[in-house]
Order: sequence, then structure tokens, then C-alpha cells
Amino acid sequence: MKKLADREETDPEVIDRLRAYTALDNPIRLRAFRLIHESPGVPFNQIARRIRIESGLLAYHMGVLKAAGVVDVTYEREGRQVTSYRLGARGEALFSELFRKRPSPTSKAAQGVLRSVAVRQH
Amino acid sequence: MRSPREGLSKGSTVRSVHRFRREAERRLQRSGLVIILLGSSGRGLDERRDVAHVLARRGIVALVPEDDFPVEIGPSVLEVDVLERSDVDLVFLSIESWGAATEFGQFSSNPRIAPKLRVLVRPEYHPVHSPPGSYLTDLYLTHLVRYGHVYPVDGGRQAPVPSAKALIPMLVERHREIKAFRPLNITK
Repeated sequence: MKKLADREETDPEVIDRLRAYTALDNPIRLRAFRLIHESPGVPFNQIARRIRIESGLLAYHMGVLKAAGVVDVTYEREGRQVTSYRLGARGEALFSELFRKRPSPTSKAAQGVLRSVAVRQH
Repeated sequence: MRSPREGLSKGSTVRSVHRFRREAERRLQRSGLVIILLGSSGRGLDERRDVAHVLARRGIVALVPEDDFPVEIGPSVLEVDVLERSDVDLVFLSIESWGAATEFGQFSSNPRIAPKLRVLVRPEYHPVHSPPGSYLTDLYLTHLVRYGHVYPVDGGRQAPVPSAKALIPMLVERHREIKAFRPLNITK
């Protein structure tokens, strides 16, 4: 019998969904997720202003979205470094699932959308 | 404002996200977790990245602040205030530098963070493996008695203890099983 630490999950799609929906299962992160969809490339400071949340706490929440592969991050230098966010392929697929249509989480359509995106964006 | 055809209302979106998460948890028989990996830079940072990668493949959201935080915010901003108010499940702290030891002092004295803290120290500083001598080792002993979760790691040939890389996934895996099946047993 394998040890717990060695045990590998067998269904990568479900694992992927668990990670993504664990990240989105928070009202602040869900608001940021919608905002990033509406304004692709939105800088970190603008998200903080729009959501009206202290930047330290927002940094944590944005870190969760990034670590879950829900958002893509770019760093640009405009005098000082700026972090910008946009939804990657996985984020867009999740957005469609949540806001545009209502497929069952086990439906073929929902599974197909997630199957088509890359494993981890960063 | 969105029409019903365009999307879900705010409340039902939150419920949908929660439902999708529960569905995935039910199928995997494990809970979703958010964890933070803190420690020193250099080799310690590489090790945390490796651990984060292993955990991600298991469906866990694992943050390495140096990689996942926006550049506008220094990793040291992950202070008591932020951890207190966040929904993080576990905070792993590898103590390999004085900076990490300072963080330990801050987190350990905060009753809202201390139960989530998992402290990793080398055996020569662990109070069970070596008698408490310094103030810091004494602080580890206090934390061990109050909360548990002070682990010796990376002993090499001299001490038969697991590496941090092996220990962290094992602890996380058991934590999510307990959270899934006996959530009331999780100390918050």
C-alpha cells in the first residue's frame, strides 16, 4: 500500500477544478475575478481601488488566484514595476461556466472546456 | 446589470462556486485547501517552489509569496494582520534564517494564527532532539506544548527525520482528509 504522501490523484480534471474553485470560493477573489475579466490587463493598484480593499490583504487574494492558475500575471516597468492581471485560458473557461451558461459540473461540455486548457499557467 | 440570460446573480454565483467546489471535493474525497509556504530565500526558496508544485498536482492552492505576490507588495507585508483576516488553512514556516525566526515569534504569539502554523526546524534546534538552550529553542518548546506542530526536518545522516519536501505533503494530505470527514476536529 502506498503511503499517503506518495498517493497520486487519478483524475486531473477534478483536481484542476478543485484548485480553481477553492481559489474562487471567496467573495473578494470572485469580485477580482469578474473585474479582471471586464478589464483585461488591469494593474494591481487599480484592482485595490475598485474593490476598496487594503493592498496587503488584496496581495494575498491575488496570490491565491495566481497560484491556482486562474489568472495570468505580467510585470511591466512604467517608472516602477507594475503587476497586471488577465484571465488565462483556464480563467476564461471558468468564467464562461459561471456567468454565461449553466452546465452541470459533470456535463460533457464543462469537462470538454477544462480538458482543452493547459495544466498550470505559471 | 446582467440579464438572467447573460449570467447569474451575485448570490447565486457565490453559491455555484461553492457547489462546484463541494462537488470536486466529494469526488476526490478530500477538501480544498489554501496554504502558504514561508521561509528563507536561496535554496529554501527553490525547495518551497518544488513543494508548491507537488501540492498543486494534488489540487491544493499553495502560495510562495516571493512568486505569487504582486511586485508592488513586498513578501514581508504578509504580516500578522493579513494572515489573521485571510482564509488560509495552513502556514508552513521553515526556520532557516533570523528573518524566519522573527516571523515565528510574531505568529506564535497570535492566537488566531498560531493554530494554523506548522513550524519546521533542523533537529539540532528542535527541543525534543536537543535540550532547550537558546531563547529561540525555548520558544519552540512553548509553541510545541501550546499548539504542537513543531517538526524536526532535514537531519541528514545524523538524525533520522524526514525532509521538509516529504513532510509537508504528508501533513497537508492528512489535514485535508480530516477537514473533509471531520471538519469539527480542525482547530481554527
